[in-house]
Amino acid sequence: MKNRIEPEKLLMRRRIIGKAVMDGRRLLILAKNDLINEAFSRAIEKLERFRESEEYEKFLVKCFREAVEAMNPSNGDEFIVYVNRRDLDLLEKKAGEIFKHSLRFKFREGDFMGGVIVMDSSGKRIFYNTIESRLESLRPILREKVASMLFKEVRMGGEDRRD
Amino acid sequence: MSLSSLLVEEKKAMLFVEEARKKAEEILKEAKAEADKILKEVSDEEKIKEILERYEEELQREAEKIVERYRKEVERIKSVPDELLEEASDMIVREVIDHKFRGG
Repeated sequence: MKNRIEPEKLLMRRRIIGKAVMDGRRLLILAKNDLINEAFSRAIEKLERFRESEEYEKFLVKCFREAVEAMNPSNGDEFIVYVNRRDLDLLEKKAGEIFKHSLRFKFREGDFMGGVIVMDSSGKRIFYNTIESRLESLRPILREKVASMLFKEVRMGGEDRRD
Repeated sequence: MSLSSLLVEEKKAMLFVEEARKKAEEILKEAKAEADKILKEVSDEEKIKEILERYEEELQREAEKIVERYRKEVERIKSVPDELLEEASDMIVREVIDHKFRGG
């Protein structure tokens, strides 16, 4: 009789306890994701406020320079630059100062929070350097950093426990 | 029919009846053994079922405790101080603004 019961018990344990551990871990992951997403939501609000700040101008110029330099430009090259409508005038004025008229730019309106998108004249190469694209490209690393900031203590006591 | 032949026939009949009785007893014995075996199997099945049901209840209680432990952990996570969330969001903003991409 024991020969018949023990394997059944083992299967039952795996099924019931395994499900409980999985359910518990799912709850933990959901809670952690909620908090990480909350940190990102707050960051987006702050980035929208940053868009209105004085430091934004410096940031915009940096994004522009970074994007153009990433294209490895040669004298006389032409680029199409997409910027937020509110940044158009400013960047048009700054472009000459930054690249000493060695490059030509056509400015167009872009629908994003801030930063720039630079495209070469053939449209083959594009460098996205908007606030949104920077956030998205950094998101995976930032998620880890946020998680380690928020759950460092908790993780040791909870998630790593083996049931 | 003579008396002696009648006696012989009677003897034969008695032997026949005796043999039939023995066979009947054997059949009964076998039937009883088979019935006992079936009864034992049924009783084993019931016992196994009962043991497994008890074990399942025990496991369910254990499982509830595990989920409860995770729930407490979730509550602990949710009680992250607001300042820490603010710090995390400031860090995101800083990284997004200061990060240098290639060519930068």
